[in-house]
Amino acid sequence: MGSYTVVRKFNWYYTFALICRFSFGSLGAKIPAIMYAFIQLGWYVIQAALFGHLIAVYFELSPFFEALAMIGSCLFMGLFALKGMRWMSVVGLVSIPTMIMLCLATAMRSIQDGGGWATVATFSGEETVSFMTAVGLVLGTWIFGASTTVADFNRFARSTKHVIAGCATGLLIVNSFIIGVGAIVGAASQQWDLVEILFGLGLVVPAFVLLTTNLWTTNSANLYSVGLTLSSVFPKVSRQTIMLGIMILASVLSLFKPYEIGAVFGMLTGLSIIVPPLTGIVLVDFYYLWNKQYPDHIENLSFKTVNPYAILAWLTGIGVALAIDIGFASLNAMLGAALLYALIMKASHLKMLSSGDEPLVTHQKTQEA
Amino acid sequence: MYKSLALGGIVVLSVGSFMSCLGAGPIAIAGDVILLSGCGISTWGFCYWQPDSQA
Repeated sequence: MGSYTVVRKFNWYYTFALICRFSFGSLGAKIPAIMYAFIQLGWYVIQAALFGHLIAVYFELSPFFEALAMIGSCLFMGLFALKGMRWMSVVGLVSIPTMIMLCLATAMRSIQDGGGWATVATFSGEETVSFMTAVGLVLGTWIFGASTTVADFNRFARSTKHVIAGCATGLLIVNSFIIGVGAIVGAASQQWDLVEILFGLGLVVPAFVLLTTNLWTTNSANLYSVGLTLSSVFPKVSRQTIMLGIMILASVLSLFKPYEIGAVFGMLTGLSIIVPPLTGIVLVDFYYLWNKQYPDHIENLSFKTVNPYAILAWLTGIGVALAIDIGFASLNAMLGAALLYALIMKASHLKMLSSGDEPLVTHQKTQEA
Repeated sequence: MYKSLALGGIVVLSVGSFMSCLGAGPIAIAGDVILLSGCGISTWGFCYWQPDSQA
């Protein structure tokens, strides 16, 4: 679903915040955009604080220096997003092969030290969550990035084919590989954290390299995406200023130790029910209501201010996820919102473009046909 | 030249990763050095050459 959204956004060079205007209205789109920015900010703070915390743990730093490490980590990671795509692509190009090689090597070492494949095959965890909950959590981590953040970067791809190849490689193959490595290492060593395993084996340099490359790439992307989104919410403030503000805010928030596991799980659970309804609404809007024909030149269009039906559908989707225990919460939330949005919009005949723009859109569609 | 540095750096860091994680004693230490050198070389190369660039 996320990949579909990504491809559609690529075709119009619209970011997540811009595309929401078609369903939520010019002012209404600011609500999911601000929420999205806060969630991204949350991830940014969690990851940056975790990096600072692990440095502090390894070097046995006092609380004061741990705080400095977390603040430094927030500012350092943000610097690359501030410098733009060129710097971020250098980080990505170096980090990805490094992570893949270190993950493979760590998996081999864990299997070797843990007693071979027999240990992995017979592993059974002490604490279990239900299958549905586990799938919901995994969906929660990826549906958000796939449907929102990834799209913001795919605008720069050369063709739809490149976007599909990029999403299939990154989201499907590489992500599955990393999850697989994590599962093997977890089963072989009875620990869940690759970095802790490396520290435990005395492999300090690989641990820091893995941690840095892993957190650095995703966090720079997070901050860049927040900057893009908030730029559309506050068009008069430059993206650089917004990013600087976020880096400072993140530095302050990192002092509250957001890396603790309760906060991370809370975040994942929240994400798995808050974001999917948005994706459902956007997909219904594009495929069903607009018949896959969003108009070009969004800057020339004037939208209605707020679409209360989209907001109602979003809240209903969240309610559906909370109320229904059957199936996957994320999927229930998305389907609930999508169905309600489609029904209300068809029944009400509400048009989100102001009447002056409708002839323009019709004219463009006629020309395209 | 920068293309060679970028791609060669990846080969170096790959070798370093395996030596560092799977080796012991001096081999692991040498692996650490090779891993960090590979990252540095690769970063240097990618700063001036990237897969999409014509250089």
